[in-house]
Formats: sequence, C-alpha cells, structure tokens
Amino acid sequence: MTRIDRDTIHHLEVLSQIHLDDEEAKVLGGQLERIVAFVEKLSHADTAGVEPTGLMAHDDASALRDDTPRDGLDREAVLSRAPDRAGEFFSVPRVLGGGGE
Amino acid sequence: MDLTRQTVATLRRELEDGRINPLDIVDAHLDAIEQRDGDVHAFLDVHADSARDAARRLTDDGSYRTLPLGGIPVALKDNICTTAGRTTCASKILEHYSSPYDATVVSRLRSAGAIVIGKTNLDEFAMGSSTENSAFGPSHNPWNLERAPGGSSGGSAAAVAAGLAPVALGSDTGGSIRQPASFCGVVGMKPTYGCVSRYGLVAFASSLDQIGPLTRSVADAARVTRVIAGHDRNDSTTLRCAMGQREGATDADADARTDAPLTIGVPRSFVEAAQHAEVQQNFDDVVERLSKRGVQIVNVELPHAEYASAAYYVVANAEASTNLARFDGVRYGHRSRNSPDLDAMYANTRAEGFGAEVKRRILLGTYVLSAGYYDAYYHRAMQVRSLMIRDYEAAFGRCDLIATPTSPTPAFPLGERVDDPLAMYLADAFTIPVSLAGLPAISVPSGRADDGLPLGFQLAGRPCDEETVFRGALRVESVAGFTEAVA
Repeated sequence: MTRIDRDTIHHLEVLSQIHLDDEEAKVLGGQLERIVAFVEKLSHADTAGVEPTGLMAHDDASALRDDTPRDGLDREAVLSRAPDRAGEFFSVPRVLGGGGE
Repeated sequence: MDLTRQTVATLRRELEDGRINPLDIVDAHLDAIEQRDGDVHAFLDVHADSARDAARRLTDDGSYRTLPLGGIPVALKDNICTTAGRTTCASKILEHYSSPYDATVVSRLRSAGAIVIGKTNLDEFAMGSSTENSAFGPSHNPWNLERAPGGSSGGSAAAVAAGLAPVALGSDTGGSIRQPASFCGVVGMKPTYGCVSRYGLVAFASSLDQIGPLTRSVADAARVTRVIAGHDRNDSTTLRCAMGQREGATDADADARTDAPLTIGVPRSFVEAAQHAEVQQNFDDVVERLSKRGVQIVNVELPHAEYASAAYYVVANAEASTNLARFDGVRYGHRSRNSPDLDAMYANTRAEGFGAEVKRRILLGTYVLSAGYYDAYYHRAMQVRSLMIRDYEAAFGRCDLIATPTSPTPAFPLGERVDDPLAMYLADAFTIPVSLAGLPAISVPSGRADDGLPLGFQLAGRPCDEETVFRGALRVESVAGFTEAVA
C-alpha cells in the first residue's frame, strides 16, 4: 500500500495552497492512504493501447464560436465583490518578503 | 386541493382553467416552508418577496396562462448562480457571495414562467452523498428525519419530497441528482452530458457535471428538461442534439400511451453487487412487472463497471482540485485577514473557507495529478473511462435502456458514514458508471423498504436519447405503483 507520510502531505499542502494544522494533516493523511489504496484497483484493469477520455463530446457541437466581441460583466459589479480593492484593481497582501512587518 | 402535494401537470391544469393563480401556489409553498423546513432544512435561503413579486407580475400580464412552467415555483440547488440572494455552494468560503449574473438555466426557467422560490442545501461544492458536508448543517430526509436525504442535491430532493416545491434543480456529477431522488422518493433526471448549459453552475468536475430536475412525476421531469435543455453560446460543451431542439421531438406523455417496443438490458452480475436484500427484491419485482407488460428484458454485461468508482474518484477530484483553485480570497468570497504575504493569505483563506471533505478531495486530486503519479492514476482512470464507454456501446447494441437500482441501499442514518469517506463513496456505485460515460439517466421511485423508506430504479439511455429514457421511466412509474409523491 502506498504510504502518504507527513512530507507528502506537506508537499500537497504547498501545491494546493491549503494550510493544514498537525492534527488535520494526520487525519487527512490516514484517510488519503485508504482512498489511494481503493483507487489502486485501477492497476488491475487491462488498459493496454486504450486511448484516454478526458473530455466528453457526443456530437461535434463543441466547436469554436464566432469571434464576435460582446460585453463582459460590469466592472463595478465584479469589483464590488472583492474582499479588498484599490480603485479599479484587486488588492492583495504583499507578494514578496512576508514575515517581518 | 392541497397545492403543495401536486405535480406540475396538475398545477398547470388548475392554472389554465382559472381555478387558482400563481400567488395561491407561491403562498401555499411559502407556508409549507414556514411550517416544515425547520425540521427538514431543505433550504439555505427562501426568496419569499421576490417569489411573490414574480407571481404578481405573471398574474398581471397574464403570461402564466400559456408558458410551460407559468406560475410554478422552482427551488434551485445553491451551486446555481442567481443575482437574487446569495449563491453559497454550502461553503463558508462563499457564505456572503452574491453572483453578478444568472445561470443560463435560471434565465430559461424564468422565460418559461417559473418562479424561483429559494436556494437549497447541498454537500459543500456538491462533494458528498448525504448533504452532511454542508457548512450550514445537514438536510433531513422527509420520510424519516433521522435519515440522510442523500446528496449532494439533498436539499433539492427533500424540498420536492416534503411539499416545499413542486420542482427543484440539482446537479449531478457522479449521482448527485439520482441518488437523493431515490432516497427521498422523487423522480431525478440527469440529462446527457452537454444537454443542459453549465454556465452559472459552480464547477466541481467539468467533464461530468450536469444540471437536471427533481420532480414528483416522470412527465414533470420531461417538461422541465425540455425547458432547460439546449445549446448555449456561453457553454461550448452544450450539444446541438439536445432535447427539444431535434426535429420531431415527441412528447413523452404521448409516447407512453403507445406500446412502442422497448428492450431493457439488466447487467445482472453488476446488480448483484448490491447486497441489500430489499433493494434487490424491489429491483427484481419491477423488472418482472415490466416484462409482464411487454417490455423485453435481456442480460447485458458491463465488465469494467467494477473499476468505475475508482476511476471516478480520480477523474472527478483531479478536475475539482483544478476548478477550486479559483477560490483564493482575491476576487470574491472569504479572505483570511491575518496573513503577512500573498502565499500565506491563499493558504489561510482556503484552510478557513473549505470543509474537511473539500480539502480531502483537493488533496487527492492534487496527488493524482502530481509528478510521478499522473500516469498511474489520472491517465489510467481516463483509459478506464474509455473502456466504460465501450461497455455501454456494446450493451446498447442489444437494448434501448439499461436498468439497475439507483442506490445500493435505502437512505442511511445521518451520521453513519461521515467519518468513513470510502463507505460514503459506495453510495454512488450504480450511478457513477453512467456518469463516466456521460449518458442520460433517471431515477424513478419504485417502492418502499419495510421501514417505509423509498427505493429507486435507474434507467440509463444512449447519448442524447432522453426521449427513450422518459418513455421507459413512464413505464416504470406505472408498474411501480409508488403513489405518495409527498412525504
């Protein structure tokens, strides 16, 4: 069975941008191990030479539409939903050099 | 007449004959919500004022008399965007979010005269099979309040079953319309992938998600599907073969009266994996009654169905981990306030905003997509998906529809599976293979277990062949004799 250790969980935390506390990491790690063991069943299916299906398409409708300009959402309506804004911009905490104020 | 126990067809007849008006229907349902929803908790928000306003407008201009859903209240799963009120996905991260636009299905319902009466509870971001993963508390099964209503569209199913709305929309990724319909004794239809626009449906797994109706009759499900289906320029995956847009599309009601030949395939060895005696017994009974009524029954094989759940949890969660990256505290929704820099803000926002199941699935999806694991899990799951599609193509060479129970069990007790994700995942064993192949499928109430809980019968059809699905479902409805549409 695949082991999902603390280092693996930490790696997944970083990749998925979700902070986990120690207790949460422990519980989730154990649950993920059991779920991964379950999906490992896939290795028993004979898939040699089988093309993967990523997207469903039951007809040829998923073609590109005409490239005609049209109005998007109202800027003020969109910006008014942001947790923080500066005029016409979304505002976020500093990008570099966090930690010290 | 108790207006909260009727089908859409009956309500429409009463409206057309002038015996009632839209406000009578809306008021009756608002009263029922007031009286019962404290126990059931089907709704996250009730749109009482805007529903009454809409009813008055439809009455004043008289348009309700001719529109297909004129004056009919509809409840919407709260992952369907509405400009009215909030759209929360039952998540803390969207607790105060209101959408700047309406989903395409909402515009279509409104054009057909329907009245949005409120937004229903769900498993957070539609991830779950019991509605217990809602950040705002579980819904309860109207037939037995200690039982789960199923999920993830549990609020929608409970609302229809409890007489709080004659129609609700849900979304189905691996069974999230059909399984709660089965648990709550209502009809639940998942159309072909691409039949109904997903524009304004908050994405969980984009290659699987599909919106569909929960109703009190098969004819009602067909009526609502016809309203919401069709190509949409805002969703490039929508089909042009979608229901209602084909030439000569027929009325399922009319079809039911004909005795057109129908062959139903039963994947016997797959069905026998349902080890619940009453589920098995009910399924066999309905198949036998169909056979006596002239439906031809044949055995079919779905040899790769045993891998379907594993493939589904890889594909769906891989897509979910990508889709849910958008919830980052920048453009909308919750933002964590005590973070020194941008990366910490992302990680804390998502830690505070997402519940346990959503985190579990994002981590799993991230894992199966990460370097070194992609081929073993994600690529392989997509190959198994192709094999599943081939299984169905071969089976449909011998039959028009494929029947299974909808769920391996009747509604399970609230709390029974919350700490065991794998046990919860098994609730969708019969609905998942159909989802992987993108097929249309319906759950029809087919009887009751000894303790009175409803059971459901699933029929799946060929891509874009909703009409045959409805035709078969009408036959199931007529032989099953499940007459109490409201708990």
